[in-house]
Amino acid sequence: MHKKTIYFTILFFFLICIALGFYLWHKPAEVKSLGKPDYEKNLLDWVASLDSDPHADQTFMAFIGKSVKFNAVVSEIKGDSSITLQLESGKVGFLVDANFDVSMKEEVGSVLTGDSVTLQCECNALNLPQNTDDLLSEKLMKLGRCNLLKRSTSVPDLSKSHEHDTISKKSIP
Amino acid sequence: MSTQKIQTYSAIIFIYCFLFFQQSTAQVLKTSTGNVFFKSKTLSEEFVANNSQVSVAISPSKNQMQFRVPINGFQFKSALMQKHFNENYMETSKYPTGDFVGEIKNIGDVKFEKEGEYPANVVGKLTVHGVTKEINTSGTIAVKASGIVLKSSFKIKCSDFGIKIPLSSIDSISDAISIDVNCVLSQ
Repeated sequence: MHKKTIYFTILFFFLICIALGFYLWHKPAEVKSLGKPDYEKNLLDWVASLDSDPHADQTFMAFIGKSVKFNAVVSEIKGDSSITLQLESGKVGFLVDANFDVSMKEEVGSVLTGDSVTLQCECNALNLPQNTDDLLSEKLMKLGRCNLLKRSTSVPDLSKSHEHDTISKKSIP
Repeated sequence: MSTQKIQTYSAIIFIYCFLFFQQSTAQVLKTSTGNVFFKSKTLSEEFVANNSQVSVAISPSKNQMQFRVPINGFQFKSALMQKHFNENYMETSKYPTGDFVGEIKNIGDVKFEKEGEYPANVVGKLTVHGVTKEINTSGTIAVKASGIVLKSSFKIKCSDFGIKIPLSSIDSISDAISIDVNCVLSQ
């Protein structure tokens, strides 16, 4: 009887481990940054400090894979398969790209150039020209898995409010 | 029309053509939203990931080609696989980008100013995980009104780039990874 209990306990824990492993292995990856951000930044100040930093690539390494929340103004909308918003950086020759997963095309599709947005993204890379012959001559901050938290249109319409709060209750930190 | 006028007009047309040709050959074609897909397939598992944040630039006049891929931009289906990929295999916080710098060997066969699809043989240096290797691959360059479409498929070996796959995962992750490149470039 005592042996039976031990066997059942072992079997129970074994099945729990199998189920947990199966769940973790098949848990889908997030396509957008959710939860409390690792950092909250003023994008223009952040860009200015990276632009003047001679070791900006080293500095930015601390942010890679981390989530950051910020406000920005959309300067260009690009991308074919997925949507990428190019954001105003305040510095000439320094670009900021915020990429959204292809599944968010409908949600982000209504954003227009000039709109003010609040985004939460993951930091992917900071591309810096390696030498004078570098064809990729601009400084480019790449943000991915972006989540559109808030948008307000550039042209105010007094007849109705244009505040579009797209924060889901789950995503509020 | 006098001969002098004809000569003047001819000279103007020639200068225009010359300047247009100079401009078209000195241009750099670029994108920062190129796509790269990769696939690892073994008998027991298949992993697919895509990245739509690839920076690409081509200078036809200098015959230079450059790719920069943010490694953290690869989107997997499985959260655990994505975590392992970035933290254990690619060490993304240490090596945030994959880079390719090369040239088109048969650049003379590619008419960037004329619509059409041209086969391209590309040779250059690929740096992944801090290791640089010479690669030689082929693909196509399609010149369209909407832009220049680059397509290529090739394989790389994880072991060539110092990417260690633990023995426990050897049945799930292939050493040979298939890479598909699909980018639309414009001026």
